[in-house]
Order: sequence, then structure tokens, then C-alpha cells
Amino acid sequence: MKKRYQFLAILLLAIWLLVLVTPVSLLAAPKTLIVDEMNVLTQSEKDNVNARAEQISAKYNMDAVFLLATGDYRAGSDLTAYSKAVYEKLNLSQNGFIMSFDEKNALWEFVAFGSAQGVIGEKVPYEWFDAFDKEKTYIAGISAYLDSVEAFLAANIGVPDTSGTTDTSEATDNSGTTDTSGATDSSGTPDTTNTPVPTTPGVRQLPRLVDSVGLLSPDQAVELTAKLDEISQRHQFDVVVAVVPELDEREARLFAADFFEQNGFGNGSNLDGAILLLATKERDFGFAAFGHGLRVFTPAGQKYLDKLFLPYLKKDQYFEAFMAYANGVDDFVAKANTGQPYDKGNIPKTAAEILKLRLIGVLVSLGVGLALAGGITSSWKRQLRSVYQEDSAHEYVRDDSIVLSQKYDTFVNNFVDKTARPKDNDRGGGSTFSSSSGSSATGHSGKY
Amino acid sequence: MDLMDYKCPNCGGAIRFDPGKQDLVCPYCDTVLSVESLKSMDEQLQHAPEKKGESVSLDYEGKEWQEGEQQGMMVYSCNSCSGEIVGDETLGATSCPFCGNAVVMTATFSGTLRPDRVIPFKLDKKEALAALQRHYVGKKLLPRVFKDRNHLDEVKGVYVPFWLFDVEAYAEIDYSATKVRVWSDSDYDYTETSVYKAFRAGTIGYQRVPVDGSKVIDDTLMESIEPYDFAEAVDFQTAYLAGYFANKYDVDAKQSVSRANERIKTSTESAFAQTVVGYDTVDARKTSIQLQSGGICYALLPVWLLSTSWNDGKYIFAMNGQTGKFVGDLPLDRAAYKSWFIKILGITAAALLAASQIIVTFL
Repeated sequence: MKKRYQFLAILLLAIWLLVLVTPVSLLAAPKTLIVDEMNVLTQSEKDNVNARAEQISAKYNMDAVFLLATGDYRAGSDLTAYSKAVYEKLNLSQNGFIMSFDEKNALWEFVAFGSAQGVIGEKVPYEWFDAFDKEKTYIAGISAYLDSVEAFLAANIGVPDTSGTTDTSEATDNSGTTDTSGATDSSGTPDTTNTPVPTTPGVRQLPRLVDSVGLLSPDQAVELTAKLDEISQRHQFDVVVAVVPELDEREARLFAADFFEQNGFGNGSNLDGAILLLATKERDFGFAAFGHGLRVFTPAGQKYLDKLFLPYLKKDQYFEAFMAYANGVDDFVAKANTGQPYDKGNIPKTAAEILKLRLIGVLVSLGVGLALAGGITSSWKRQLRSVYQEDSAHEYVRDDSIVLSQKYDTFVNNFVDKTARPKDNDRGGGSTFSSSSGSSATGHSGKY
Repeated sequence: MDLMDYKCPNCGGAIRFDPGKQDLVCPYCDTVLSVESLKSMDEQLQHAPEKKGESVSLDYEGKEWQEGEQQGMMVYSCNSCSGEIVGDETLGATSCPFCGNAVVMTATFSGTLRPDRVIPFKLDKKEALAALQRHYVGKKLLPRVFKDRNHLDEVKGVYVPFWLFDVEAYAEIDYSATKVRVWSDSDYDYTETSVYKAFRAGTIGYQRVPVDGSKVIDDTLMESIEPYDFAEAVDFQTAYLAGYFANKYDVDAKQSVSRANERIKTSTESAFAQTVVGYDTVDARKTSIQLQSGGICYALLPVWLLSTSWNDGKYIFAMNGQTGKFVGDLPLDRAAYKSWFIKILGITAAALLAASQIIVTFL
């Protein structure tokens, strides 16, 4: 009996000792991601935004920190170094970033760590700070900042596989996983330009929606991604939308094709799929399709596809444009699967075209009606008039009386006018071309 | 011989010229007399030889009436338009053939020159009335009530005085002409314009260009019933006036020649322009046309004048008494005009609208 008590005592002691030596980090204590040195947030507000930041950090495996600095750091440091020090002091993961705001000195700073350096482009922090700065209160500003962060991460990273694996096959990863370790360059933009990402055909490196510029809200990004995924899986045909800040020397369709290929998009060995890529700086768009897409998207068909999404793009209605594009591709692939892809002779009219034709029909009907009514009644009216002055005397010319005594024709000069022929500016239609790797694709470029 | 009375040698009734028979006919005893027989009788009345119409200058001298030739001819003067018409005393005109107003004064015919030539009436009153009815046919915007013959006020056969000008035109005309050649390559459309100067000089002759010599008769109305076939013109004989009115000229040859010249110049320019061939455009730049009179003839040409009144308006129609060409402006039925316009517009627009919408639906 005594031994039994001794055993229990030892067990309790062991447990107590274990608790004592266990690192704080293993106790899953809440992270501090919102640092309020200025003491402008209530505890409740601080808890709320911190919880939100924690959710984002957990969802995207990337710690999102916001620091409201007092400015006292300036005695021995600058805001950049201080931000780094604060981030490290918070004992967070290696992948994350900190946005610092020093109201006293009117400064702000952004520092990224680990994989965040590759994902977040140079311009993105400015947009995030703008989101914060636009709001009138600190709590609203921090909330807006977190909204922007989440929108960007949703578009560019996606929701990681909950299993924590990097299996990107269609069968196990419906939401799309992201390996961003090699996907960004030092400038912070997606690496789709000069350094192709080593890929294996069919192994996707990025989600099907890549919005590097943040054109879409988080909700829109989620909805569009789901749409692209659903269509892609149903048709076994990758449907991709990408937004990049700017192009390089390549035209948009080649840029799009390389982006598609180098990031592992495309179904099967033929890389069946299509991509619509926007470059916001140039307001260029490029469309490219591989594999089965060469049959799906005929030149005439691509012209029709443009009509579906381009009107929205021109009005900067990006979500509507991308959804129209996705639905269009869905329709195109389904049509091609019947053996008759959209081509000359079976291109349907868009609603706008039909409306335009109907209006033209109305105007032409009225115009022709007016012309006919006016013409007929005028001719009837003219029938009532038969008294006219006779201005010539042709009837009274004596037969063969015209005699030319002098007749000569002299060349004076000549001149040539030349006018430039209208160029075929129709960007639609598309044609086949080769990607940088030599793969055959079809596509076209244009402005929006 | 009292030829001017044109009494029938059989019954003493007033005889008239019959356009169908081209002879003089007595409406009372149906006696037919040839114009030639009347002419021979006319010649017997001749006390002095006729002056030859040799003058070809604008100073037209013309021929004087023979003694007794004007006897029995009356002048009817219209109070409204001042028109004067000539006829025998048996005509008894009740209204002016030019404006439809009542003729109120008569006087004995005198003065003016004797016509050189006359084209006798070939068509009679019945044919004029039939032509008027044909004139109404097929005119959808003519008021129905206007077609009612009851509105016809007067139908008169009138010999209208015309001056006939024979003219030689000498023209010198500079033309600017161009030839245009068009071709294209992949980048440009080219238009080569070669400019030429063309010069034409020469003569062209006109014969018997008619100008109405009466003020009261609308010149435009008379020009509208041209042309006349002057091959059928004959030497004037007062016998041809029997049963018809004749209008005295009150615009002399000098006043009339300007109108003939206008027409001749227009035709000369046109005729010479047709000799400048092989070009895409031809524009006359400098024109000099000199006209030389080749003779003037004073002639009476046959015209049927019909006057109607409707809605307080007078409508004058004219028919070429030789060829039957019928002219005359008609009133417009405005209600019918609007109604037809709306009907045609409605039906056409509705049909096209339906068709276009169906086509769009099936596109």
C-alpha cells in the first residue's frame, strides 16, 4: 500500500516536472500578431484583430503581423531594423511579414521573412498600407489591412491542403496547393519570366487563379477559384486565370503560354488547358491554349471568346470578366466534345450583338419604310406635274450640222494620290504559335 | 369673193376646218371643201403680190395681210389677262381660253403681220377631251372630285403665234478633262489623275427653234408640249383658222430671240461636250458661243387649251394639236398623300421589322 502511494507521488512529481520543463511554445499559447505599442486599441479590439490575424496566419502558414510603433525606437534604430526585431521577438514562424506604422514620425515599413519574400511583390505592401491608411480609426485600418492580406494570400497562395502534404494531384487536392518557394523572384513578382520553374507536366505549382495584383476581393477569388477548379476537373482541361503587374519583352499570349507551361498547368501529357493572362500595366491580355485546346479554340472561336469577356474587362469588371471567360471555356470545351467546335458557321451571337442586330433591324425597317413611302408618294406627286421649262434645243439640231473646225487634246499633268489601306487591326481570331519551350499552342493577344 | 366669211357655197353656213379630214367642212350641209380650193379663191382676192419672206435677220419684216383677208375676223379681249384672241365672228367666245375669265369686249381684227406658216390641227376637240381623261388616269394623288367632267369650263382650239428661229452657232469651248487610274498594293491605294486640256471649235445648226410669241400664254406650258413636226407646216391660209381661235403675237422676234438663244447655247455646249470622249470627267472651263441668225419664221401652231376650275383655282391644260402631247399640272389630294404615306410606311416598316426580328432570332 505504501509502495502504491509512493508510485503515485513519483508519477505526480514527474508530471509536474514535465510541465515545468515543457517549452512555452508547445503549450499552444496564442500568438501576438497585432502589437499596439501606442495603446490605442482596447483589449477587446486587440483580441478581435489578433484572432483574425491568427486565423489568416494559420490558414496560409504565414504570420501576418501589424505593429503600431511609438517612435521611441529611433534613439538607437530605424523602423526597418525595429520591425525585424519585433517580429523576431514575437517568436513567430520563419514565414511571415510585419507591417509597421509610426504615426509620430509619419513612417511605415514592411518586412517579409522566409517564403513571404517570394510571394509578396514590391507593390503589394503599398496596397495593404493604403487599405490601412484609408480608414479613420486604427481598429478599422487594421481590419482593412487584414482583409487585403487575406485577399492577396487567397489569390496567390490558396488554401493549403489540410493534410499538410504537397500532393498537388487532382484526386487529392481540390482546393489547390501552393509551393511558393520557387515561385517568386527577389523582386517579389511571380517568376514567370526568365527562369522557368522546373515542372513535371500535370503537376500544378500554383492555383488556377493567380491574382498577383489583387484585382479580386477574397470572396471573389474563392468563388472564381472554385469555378475554375470545377470546370477543370469536369473536362480534364485546366482553365487558368492569371493577373501579373506587367509584361516583359514577350507579347501577352507568349507570356501566358510560358506562365501556363512553366507553372505546371495543363492536363495530361498534352498539357490540355487554356489560360487568360492580364498584364495590368499595359492593359494587355493574352490567351493561350495547349493540347486539346488547339482543337477547342479555332481562330473564329477565339474571336467569339473575346466577345464574352472583353466587354467586362474594358469596364474593369474583372470578376465578371473572369467568370465569363470560365463559363465560355466550359461551353467551348463541351461544344468541341460534340465533334463540332465553335468555328465559322456556328458561332453564336452574343446578347449584345443580338440586341444590336435587333436595333439595326428596327432602324433599317423604319428607314426603308420612310424611304419607300417617301419615294412612292413623291413619284405619285410628280405625276401631277407635267409642265416643265425646256432648257435645250436638241430637237431642233439640223441633221449632221455639227462640224468641228478645230479639235485638239493636250496632256497637262498628272499626279498620284496614295492613301494607306486600312490595316487589319482585328486582334481576335488567334493563331498557332510555339511557347518558349517549343510547345505548340494557339492564342492571341489584345488590349482591354 | 367674201372668203373671210368662209360661207358654205352650198348653204351659206359658216364652214370650219376639220382636223380629221384636213379639209374645210360645213357643219350644216356636210359640204367638204379642200384648202387648196379655198387657197385658189384666196388668190383671186389677191390685189397685190405677197412680199417674199426673205429676211433672215432679227429685223423680221414679215408679210402684210392681204386686202379683205382680215374681214370678218374679230378680236376678243380678256378683261382679266388682257389676252387677245382672233377668230371669226361666229365663234362667240364666252370665256378666255388662257385664263378662263369671261371675254367682255370684241373689236375688229387689225394690225400685226401675217403668219408665214401654219401647222393645221390634226386632232379635234373629242380627242382633246379624251386626252384629258387619259391625263387623269393612274394619278393616285389626284382628288377624285377633280376628275368630274362637270368642272371643265372651256375647251378651245387655239392657233398660238410662234417665232421659229434658224440659227447657226459657232462655238469655241475649252474643257478640262481627266483620266483616272486606280490600283493598290498591300499598303496603299493609289489614284493617278491625268489632266488634259481639250479644245473644240466648230459650228452647229438649228432650225425652227420655237418661241412662244404671246404674252398671255404661259411659255413654259408651250415648251412642255413641244416638239412640233414642221414637215407638216403649210403656208398660212386664213381658212385654217375656221372654227378656231388664233392669238395675235404681242412679243416680237427681237424680244423672243433671247429665249431661243438660251436653249441653243445649252444644247451647243452639250453637243460639243459629247465630242470630248475617252475621259472620266469633262468640265467646260471657257465657253464662247456666237449665234448667227439663219432666218425667222412667224408661224401659228395648233394648241388645244382646256380650262377647269376647282376649289377656287383655275387649271389650264394644253394639248399639242398636231402630236397630241398633253400637259397640265394637277391639284394634289393632301389627305390622300398623307394617308398613302402612312400606309406604305406602316406596312413596309412592319413587314421588314417582323422579318428582321425573325432572321435575328434564327441567327
